[in-house]
Amino acid sequence: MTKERLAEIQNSVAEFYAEAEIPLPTATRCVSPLTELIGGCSLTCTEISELSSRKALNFLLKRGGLTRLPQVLNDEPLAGFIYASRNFGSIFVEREDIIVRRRFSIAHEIGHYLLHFRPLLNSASNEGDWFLTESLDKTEGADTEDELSPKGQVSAGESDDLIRCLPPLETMEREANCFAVELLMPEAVVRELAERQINNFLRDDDLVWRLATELLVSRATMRFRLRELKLFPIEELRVN
Amino acid sequence: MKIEFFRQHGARRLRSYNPQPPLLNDGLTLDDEPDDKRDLDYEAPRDDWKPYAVSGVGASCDDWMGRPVRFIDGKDVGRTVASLRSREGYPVPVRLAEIGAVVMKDNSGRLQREFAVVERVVSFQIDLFPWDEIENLAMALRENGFRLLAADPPERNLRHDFERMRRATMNRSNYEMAQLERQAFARDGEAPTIVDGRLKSRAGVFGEKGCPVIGLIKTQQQDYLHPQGWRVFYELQPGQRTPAFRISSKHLDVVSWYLRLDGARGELPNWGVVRVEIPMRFFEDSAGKDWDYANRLSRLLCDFRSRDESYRRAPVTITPIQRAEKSLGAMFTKHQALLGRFYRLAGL
Repeated sequence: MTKERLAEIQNSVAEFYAEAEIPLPTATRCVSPLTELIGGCSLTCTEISELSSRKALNFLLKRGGLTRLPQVLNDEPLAGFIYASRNFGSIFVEREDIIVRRRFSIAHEIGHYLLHFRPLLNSASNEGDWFLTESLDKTEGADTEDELSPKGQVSAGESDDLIRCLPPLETMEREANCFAVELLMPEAVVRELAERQINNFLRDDDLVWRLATELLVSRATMRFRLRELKLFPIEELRVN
Repeated sequence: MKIEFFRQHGARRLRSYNPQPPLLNDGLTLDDEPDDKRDLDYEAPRDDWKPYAVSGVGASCDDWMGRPVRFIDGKDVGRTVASLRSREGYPVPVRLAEIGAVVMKDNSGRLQREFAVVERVVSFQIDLFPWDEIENLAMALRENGFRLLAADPPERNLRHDFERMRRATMNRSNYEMAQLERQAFARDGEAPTIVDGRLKSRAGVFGEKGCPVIGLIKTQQQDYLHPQGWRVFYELQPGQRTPAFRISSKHLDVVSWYLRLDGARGELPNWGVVRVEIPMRFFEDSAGKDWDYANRLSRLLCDFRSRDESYRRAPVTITPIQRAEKSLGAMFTKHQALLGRFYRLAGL
């Protein structure tokens, strides 16, 4: 990913906070408030057991969010799902997943919504009932770095016109992940907490454990983030 | 400010109670790790096991290079204080605890507190609840000086076993206390140190090879000895130790022996016996597998033994650790006061 694109994604996170009129997290208030952020935008989030695209879209249909079921649905088990139309976005998350996994899935779907779907839907012609969905596959293991390379599928219902305007799937997945990491583990917060804790631990895993608990994220994602920010292994932080 | 989460999920207060057996005793152990492997012939073959006197060995321990100068203790004071109702309708235990760790340092014969940390924690199985409510709860608890800890999620078919979940919340709180002890270690990973308890939970936080870290275990939870070993154990006089043996676990190999600190006045046969652990790599590589090291250390521990008869665990305690416990204890809030505060916050 280019530096410019990374800066754009970081800017999207900041704009998301601004849109919801919520202050950015700090080292003392370090858990990213996804609940408030979602509430401050035109998004909803629902937990569903044994989540699949069929279950999610049936849920929307029953509640009047859809007038008819799109044809692109199946029973594949999912960790997350988003349905985005011009007016709103509905995120779904697997209820049986552990909390930190659920939060990551939600942040990933928010990333798709803000980076890829909303801009495109807003620019689409007013004619037509446009919508986009993304299905985030379930990963094996509860706290593994697999969740950092999630595989998903994007669909636009019966029309492929919108899909052609989107970046390649792999790029979108990488960007949604990057957004989730920036949202859940803001650089400034992670840096400050890591620097505060550096003298408290000798083992990398202990630092990871502590920061993951503080930010309500999985150890795997925190390990990834620390490595990405060159705060890991601890020895490197001490040298810096 | 009240936190609504607890009442919204049907929380009710729980009085203090003794641990109950698991609901489903289906052969699964509640312990996290399997038994350790042992080599009882490490210092002496089984038939040659006998008590070794340590009281007269070596010169004075006062100027001994290996003399421990740091003493670490951790504390987890808490209990299951409430029961929530999960989305599936099962009761979920909530544990409130104050945890902490302290380092006492021997500065030319004067014990001084070098480092101490105390935290208040609430642990339960957060994965059984809606993510948004847990997120808000974590933030609200934090604003009120508590940290939220996620206990390991139960297996799906054991979500109704309250006792198993209670144990998991306690383990989580204990683990966090061990993390604080690790912080205490990290202040000086090189100085000879005595720690209250086993070394394996501290593996990786001290240099196994170069750093003499000694574990002092007061409560014996595993049976390491053969029948002759147990005979020797009961024959020990104050200032005597058993031959050393090796214990291998997943993260750390240690050399260990039993040592009687006290108990020559007709007390119970197991009175005043502690188990000592040192990292095997240190003992073999740095101490040159020198049995004089084990004897000197044992003698020093006997010299350190607590003589405070008003202290319940005095027979198996050394004075610096007792001082550490006291120092840390003084930093803890009275549990009833903490409990009252939590109940007010939770609206219970």
